[in-house]
Amino acid sequence: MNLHYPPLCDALAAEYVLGTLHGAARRRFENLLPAHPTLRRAVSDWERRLNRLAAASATEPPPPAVWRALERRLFPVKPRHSWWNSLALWRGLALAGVLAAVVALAPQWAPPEAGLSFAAIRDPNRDVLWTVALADDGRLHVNSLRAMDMPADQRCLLWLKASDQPPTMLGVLPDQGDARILSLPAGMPRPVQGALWVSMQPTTDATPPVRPLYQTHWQVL
Amino acid sequence: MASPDSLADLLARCALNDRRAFEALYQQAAPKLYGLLLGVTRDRELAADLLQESFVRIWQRAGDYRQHLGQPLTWMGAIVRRLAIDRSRRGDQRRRGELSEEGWALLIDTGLGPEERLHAEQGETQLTRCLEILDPEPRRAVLLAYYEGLTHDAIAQRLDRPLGTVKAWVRRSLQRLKTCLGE
Repeated sequence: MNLHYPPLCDALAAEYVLGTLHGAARRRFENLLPAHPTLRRAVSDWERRLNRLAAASATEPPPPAVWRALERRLFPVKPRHSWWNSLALWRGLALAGVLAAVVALAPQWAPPEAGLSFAAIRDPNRDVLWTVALADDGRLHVNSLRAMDMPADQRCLLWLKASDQPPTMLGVLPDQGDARILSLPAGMPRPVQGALWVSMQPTTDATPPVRPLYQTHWQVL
Repeated sequence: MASPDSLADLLARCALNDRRAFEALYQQAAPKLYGLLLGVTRDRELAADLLQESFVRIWQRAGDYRQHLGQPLTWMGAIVRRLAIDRSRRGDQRRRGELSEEGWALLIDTGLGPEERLHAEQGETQLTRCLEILDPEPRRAVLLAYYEGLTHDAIAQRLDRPLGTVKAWVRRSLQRLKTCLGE
């Protein structure tokens, strides 16, 4: 595949979005996407063009079970806000750098009853870009510690990568020095296993990455 | 009664964790997206699973929607189709693509075609016009690939044309659409 020949890139992206690129060629193309911004841009351009057709799709009422399952999955009933679940608390902690101090002091502490899982995602200079803390209700409190200069059509995604499995998407990372709450997929065993991966992808691309841009591991306090 | 909120407003409110907006978004967009999934998967159970998966992603990524990425339904359609094609290709290709010739005749050749529906529902007159410049058979090949998720082989069988012809139709049609859309 000659990726320096733009008409070929564009034709492949078009057939990828239309779905006529299939089998081994489709998988090869997908594997190239993470490392080739030009290809990703061609894919998002074609998605914008062709998916206008979605509006003319036939309409069919979905089974009511779908909405019920969505509610259970995205909005599980949980105990009222404890201090632990307060976003403001986590934001405050992260911004003050206190979380880092907690890590340093951790060995001297008696472990809290549930065991707190958290992770710091660092760039190659060891600067922390994000902190991720898992509350016991399954919500992930994610803080972006630095505003990042992101292209308008790209986002950083957080993934959980267990061995041998393709990574599972946890959600979109905040990238403007702000905070966001993500939820673990329902039924995920605790304590959570595996590495945390970060990828940068076009906003319409949710393909599990083959390799991470950054990765880190959970630490349990 | 107040007019329904636009999908773009609802997506913006979803990004702020507004559950009611998400419910309204689901009510407005799910029937269309479920229709799209049924077309590609030809399997109600799989389509329902994929609809659930799609809306989890839509909720998680609502903050990413930007107007320059197209209409909200275009953006959601991209999420849905990506999942649908990846997932349904793992199944049996032959199970799919069973829409009858009569069904297609209705979709493509009469006033009820997707082009007209596009025109009526979204004002996407530019894409409508561009689809109209394609010859009927190549246009049908592109629409079969889009709405039914058919591969070149399956399209060739359906239209009873040689594989090479179908590949050339699709390739040229996509280029013509791009040129016509002027981007």
